[in-house]
Amino acid sequence: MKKVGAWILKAIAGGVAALLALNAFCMLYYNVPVHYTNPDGSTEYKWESSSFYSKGTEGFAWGVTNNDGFNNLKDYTPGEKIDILLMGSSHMEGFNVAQDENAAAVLNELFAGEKYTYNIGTAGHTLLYCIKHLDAALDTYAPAGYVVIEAASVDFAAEDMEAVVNGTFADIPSHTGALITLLQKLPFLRLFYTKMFKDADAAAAEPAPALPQQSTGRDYRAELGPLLDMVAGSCREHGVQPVIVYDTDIRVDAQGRAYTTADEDRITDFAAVCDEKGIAFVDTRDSFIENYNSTYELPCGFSNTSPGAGHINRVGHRLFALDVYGAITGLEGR
Amino acid sequence: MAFNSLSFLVFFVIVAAAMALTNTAALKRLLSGKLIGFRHVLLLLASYVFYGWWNWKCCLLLLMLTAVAFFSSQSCRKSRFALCAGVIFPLLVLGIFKYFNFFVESFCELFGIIRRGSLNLILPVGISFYTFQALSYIIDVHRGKIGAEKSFVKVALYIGFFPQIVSGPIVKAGEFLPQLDEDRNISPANLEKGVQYFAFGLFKKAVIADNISVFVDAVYSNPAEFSGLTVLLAILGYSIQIYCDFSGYSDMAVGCARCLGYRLPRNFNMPYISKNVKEFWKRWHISLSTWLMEYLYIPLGGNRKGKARTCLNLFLTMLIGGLWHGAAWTFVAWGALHGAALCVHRVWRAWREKHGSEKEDLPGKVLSVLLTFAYVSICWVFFRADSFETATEIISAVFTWKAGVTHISSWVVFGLTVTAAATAAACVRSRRHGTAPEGYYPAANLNSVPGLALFFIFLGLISALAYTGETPFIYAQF
Repeated sequence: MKKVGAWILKAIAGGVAALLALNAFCMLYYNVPVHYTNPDGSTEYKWESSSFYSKGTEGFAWGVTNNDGFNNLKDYTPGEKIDILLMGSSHMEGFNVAQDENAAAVLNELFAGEKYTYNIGTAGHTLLYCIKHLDAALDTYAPAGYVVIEAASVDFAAEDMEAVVNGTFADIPSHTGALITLLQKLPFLRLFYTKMFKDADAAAAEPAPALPQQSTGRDYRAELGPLLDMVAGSCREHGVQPVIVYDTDIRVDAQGRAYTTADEDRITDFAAVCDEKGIAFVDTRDSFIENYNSTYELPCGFSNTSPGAGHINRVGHRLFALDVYGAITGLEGR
Repeated sequence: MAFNSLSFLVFFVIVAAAMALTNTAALKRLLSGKLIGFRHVLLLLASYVFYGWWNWKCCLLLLMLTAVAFFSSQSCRKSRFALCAGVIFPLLVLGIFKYFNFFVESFCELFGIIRRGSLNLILPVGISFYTFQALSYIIDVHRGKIGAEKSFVKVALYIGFFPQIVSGPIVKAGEFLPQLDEDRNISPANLEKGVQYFAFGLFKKAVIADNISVFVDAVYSNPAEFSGLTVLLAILGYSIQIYCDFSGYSDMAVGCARCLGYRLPRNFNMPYISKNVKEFWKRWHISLSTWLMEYLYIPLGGNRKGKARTCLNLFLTMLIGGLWHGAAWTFVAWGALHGAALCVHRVWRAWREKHGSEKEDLPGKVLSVLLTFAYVSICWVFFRADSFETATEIISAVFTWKAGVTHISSWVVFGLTVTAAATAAACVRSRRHGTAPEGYYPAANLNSVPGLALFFIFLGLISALAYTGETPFIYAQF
C-alpha cells in the first residue's frame, strides 16, 4: 500500500511537470485567446486584448490581438479615422494566416495609406450575425466610407432572417466564469477539449455553407428584402456604402477543372436584392477560379489540412482583398 | 472496437482489472490449481467480446474455425482426412468470404457474362489473419513441430487472442501455446512496458498515419487536381502512412499482450532501411513473410529445384501474398511486382557472387536503400489505388511532372522526418551495441518522476496532435 501511495505521488508530480511542458508547447502550437462578450455590441464577442495567439492545427500562424481584441496589425484608438470597416467570420478573422497577409492587411497595402481598413472579423460571425451587429459596429467605429461584410454563405433559413430583423436572433455565449477563464488560459487543456469534444475544428471551414432549403416554392428575394433593407437602412443612416463579399471554396473535378458547389439561384437572388437595395455585391468565385486556372493555387486549405478545404489561405485573402479593392475603386469611378 | 477508440480503452481497463483480480491472494486460494485455466477462460471471453463487437455472428465463424482446427489437430498426424479437413476448411472459409465474389466478377468480366451468383456476405474482420493462424497450427502439428493441444480453450485463445486477432502479428502456435502453460498475468513490470509500447503505436497511428491519410486520400481520390510534385509527395506519404498505420497497430497489439503478460513477435524492423526487396520482406510484416515462406514457398519447392523454379516459387508466393491482402487485381499486381523484384534480386546476387563484387561501400549502400525505398513506394501505388487507371494516373503524373495544385503536406514532411530520425537513432544504437540495425521500443522508467513526466508528455502530445476523424486501420480490412 505504501508503494502504491508513493507511486501516486510520483505520478502527480510527473503529471504536473508534463502539464507545464505541454502548455509551453501548445502556447506555440495552438493558443486561442479567451473570448469575452463585446460590451459595445459590434460583435457577439471579442478576444482578450493584446493577447498572443497561435494556430498550428490549420495553417501555421502566430500574432497578437490588438488592444481592441481583434486581429489587426495596429492598435485601435477610439475616434481614429477608419475608411473601411471589415466584418465577417473566422475567414476574415484570419487566425490561420500571418497578420500581414490577411485581407485587411492586404487592403491597407493596396490603398497605400489612402484608406485605412479596420478588421473586426470574428469566428462564428456569419452574415446574419454581422447584420445583427451592424448598427452597433457602425456606431462604434464610424467608418468614413465603407463597411465590407464577408459572407461564406448567402443561403439562409427564412426564420433566421426574420429573427435578425426582429432582433431575436440567438446570441453566441461567452464562458467567462473565473474557473472557465483560467482553464481557457491553459492552451493544452483548450486544445484537448477542442480535439476531444469539438472534433478538430481544424478540418472544418467556418461557417459551413448551408444546404439549400426548399429551393422550390420559396420566394427567396422577398424573404431577403427586409434583411437587406436593414443593412441598407443602417448604412444610409451612418453614411457608408455597404459591400457584401461572397467567398466560398472551389473544388477541382476529375478533369482538373475548377468549380463551385454553391447554389446559383440563391446567389443570383441575393445579388439582385443587393442591387435593388444599393448594396454592392462582390462574388469572389470568378477570381478564385481564374486564379486557379492560371496558377493552380486554391484559395482555401493549408499544408497541414486537406488540400483546398477549410478556411481561406494566404492566396484567398489576397484575392479577396483585390476584389474588394476593385469594387471600391469601381464605386469611386476610378 | 479499434485500438484507438474510447470503447477499446474502457474494454481494456475492464479486462486488465479482471485479470488483476486473479492476482489477489483470496482468488488464488479459491482457484488454487485452476487459476491459470481460469485466466485463459477470462481472456477467451474477453477476446470473443472484442471480436463480436463488430458483428457477433463473426464469433460463430471464429468458433467453428477453432473447433475444426482443434479436432483436426487431434488426429491430423495419423489421419489424412483430418489433415485435409483442417487445411481445406479454413481455406474454404477464406475463399468464400473474401474471394468468391472477386473470382465470379473476374470470370464474368473475362468472358463477358452478365454477373450472376454473387454472394451478399460481409467480410469478417481479421479473417485472413486467424485463418492463417489456424492453418499454421494444424500444419505444425502434422509436421510434428508441436504436439496437439488437448485444451480447447488454449487453442481457441491462440486463434482468437484479442490483441492480434484483427491485424496480427500472425503468431505461430509454437510461439504462443507454450506461454499458456506458464503462469502469466498482468503485473507492474508488464504494464510498465506494455502501456509504453501501446502509446508508441498509438503515436504512429493517430498522429502520423492518420494525419497523412487526409492528404493521401485527397490525392488518390482525384489525382487530376494535383501537380507531379504533390503526387510524388502523396506516394512517399503513403509509404510512411501504411508503415505507421500497420506497425503502429502491431505495436499496440504487442503492448496489449505485454500488459497481460504475453509476448507477441516483432512484426516490423525498420523496413525502409532495406538495401533490397529481399531484405525488405525480412523487415516488413515479418510474421506474414515468415508464414508465406514456411507454409507456401518451401512446400512449393523453395530453392531446391533449380534457379528457374526458385524464381517461379518466389513469384508465386508473392502473387498469392498479394492476393491475401485483398480481393482485387491491384493487390495481385502489387504482389507480382514484389515477386518480380525478388527474382531480379536473386539473379543479380548470383551474378555479383560469380563476379566477386559482393562488397559494398557506403554510397553504394545508401543508393541501394534509396532505390529499394523508391521501388517499394511505387509498388504501394498499386496497393493503395482502387483501380489500375488511378495507379497509372498517379505514376504518370510523377513521371510527366504534371502541372496542377502544389500542396506540400507538412504532415508528410513530419512523418518522413520522424521516421528518418527514429531509424537513424536505432541504427546508431545498434552500431553502439555492435549488432545489425534493429528497431527498438524506447521505454521510460515509470517508477520515477522524470520517466512518468516524459510518458505523460508523450500521451499529451498524442492527444494534441492526433487526427480525430474516422480512420480505420488499413490492415483491418484484410
